[in-house]
Amino acid sequence: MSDATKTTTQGALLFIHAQTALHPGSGTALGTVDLPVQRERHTGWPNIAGSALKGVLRDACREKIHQATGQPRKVVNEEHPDIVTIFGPGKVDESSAHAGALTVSDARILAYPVRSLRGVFAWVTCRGVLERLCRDLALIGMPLPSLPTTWPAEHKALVPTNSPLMVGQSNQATVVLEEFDYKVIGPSDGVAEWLANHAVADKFAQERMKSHLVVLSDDDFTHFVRNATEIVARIALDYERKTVKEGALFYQEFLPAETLMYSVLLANSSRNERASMDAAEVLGKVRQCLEDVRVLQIGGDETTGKGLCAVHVLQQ
Amino acid sequence: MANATKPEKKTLDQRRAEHAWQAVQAVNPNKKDQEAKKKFEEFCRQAKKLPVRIIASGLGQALAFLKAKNYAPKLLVALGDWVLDKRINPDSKKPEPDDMALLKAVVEGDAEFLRWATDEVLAYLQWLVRFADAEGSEGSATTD
Repeated sequence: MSDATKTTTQGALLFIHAQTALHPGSGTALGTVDLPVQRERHTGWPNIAGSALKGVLRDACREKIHQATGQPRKVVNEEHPDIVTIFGPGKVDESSAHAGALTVSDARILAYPVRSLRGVFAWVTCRGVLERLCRDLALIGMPLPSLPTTWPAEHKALVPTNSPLMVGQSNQATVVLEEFDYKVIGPSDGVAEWLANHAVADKFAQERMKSHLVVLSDDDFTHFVRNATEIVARIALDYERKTVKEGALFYQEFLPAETLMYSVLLANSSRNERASMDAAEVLGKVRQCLEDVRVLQIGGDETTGKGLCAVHVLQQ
Repeated sequence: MANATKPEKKTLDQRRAEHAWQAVQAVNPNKKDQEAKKKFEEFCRQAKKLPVRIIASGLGQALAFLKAKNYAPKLLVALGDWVLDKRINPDSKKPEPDDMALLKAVVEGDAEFLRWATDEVLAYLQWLVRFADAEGSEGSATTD
């Protein structure tokens, strides 16, 4: 970001903590599952498209204004100056009039829940993820977490001091995640503290994060986010026979509940001639809305309870 | 490449596809042989279910289940032949291993081998399942 840009934009991180399984779908695919989740092409790590996230944010803000004013949702979406200024025009024939003032990046993975032999589950993360987080924090001018001085190699792990995840004595301690053993080579307290204090909002998750955050090697982390997702068989029943309808079986992939992701929000001043709003005001309105709603539904399968995510904004 | 005289060196994915195609053809029966047809259908059904079983329970468990039930020994043979030999040695002329070979390698191998084999089997199965479908699998959702 140039100095000129810095003075006119405001940045924040939007943390997304899945409370139920999450299906940010990528449409049909030819792979193992019929309905896989979105993934970055170059890492295979799960993500959520910025466009999907922006739509969810727009809907949340629109709903809040609808509740407050009683105006029809369609009118709010197409004519309310806040919505049109922050997110862009709501009418198709006006879509090229001006851009919205808010930029929403793709949501990136931050910590991924994995079954543990002790302590029920651990959140795993890795160097690649944490360095990317630091890059994104620097982008919005936020102070960085203290990263570990020694990173774990494959089959090694950093685990919080006295973590209930550990098996065995302190100098021989391991953590057992799914069916893999990881030798504990040091503490992950710094990162765990930072995530607990900045990335999750509810106090139960904060407490758990402090003792359950494991740092793995990039490759070990990648294995889990690629292969330790939830695969659900979906069927339709034949009313008469009460057995599966012919051809009505498909497999769907979900990110498990407790998955933690984040998106970068960048606000500019209004580009809408009809409404004046500076960057701080744009971000302030979005933030206020998110603080009011606290939980957003993201991704598919809303009516089966999927995709409920606690959201939390971190700003300078 | 209409005028190509010599085939280019194949990509890994092309080699997976070629091996999977041959594996499916090897069990694809003569249309009149009812017994062989049943076996082929079972092969296709199990192939289709295997990726999800691997993701849910791990490669070792999924292979052990197939072995215990003895549903589709030829599927285990094809996976073993690809992962343990033809994947690494494209020009190998070694005969196919038995249906326990890959399971043994998983049990005796280290964690790194298990991770690598899991990724390789899942990638290979994408082709095998597709070809099994193409060759007339019903893919019906029967219970085990």
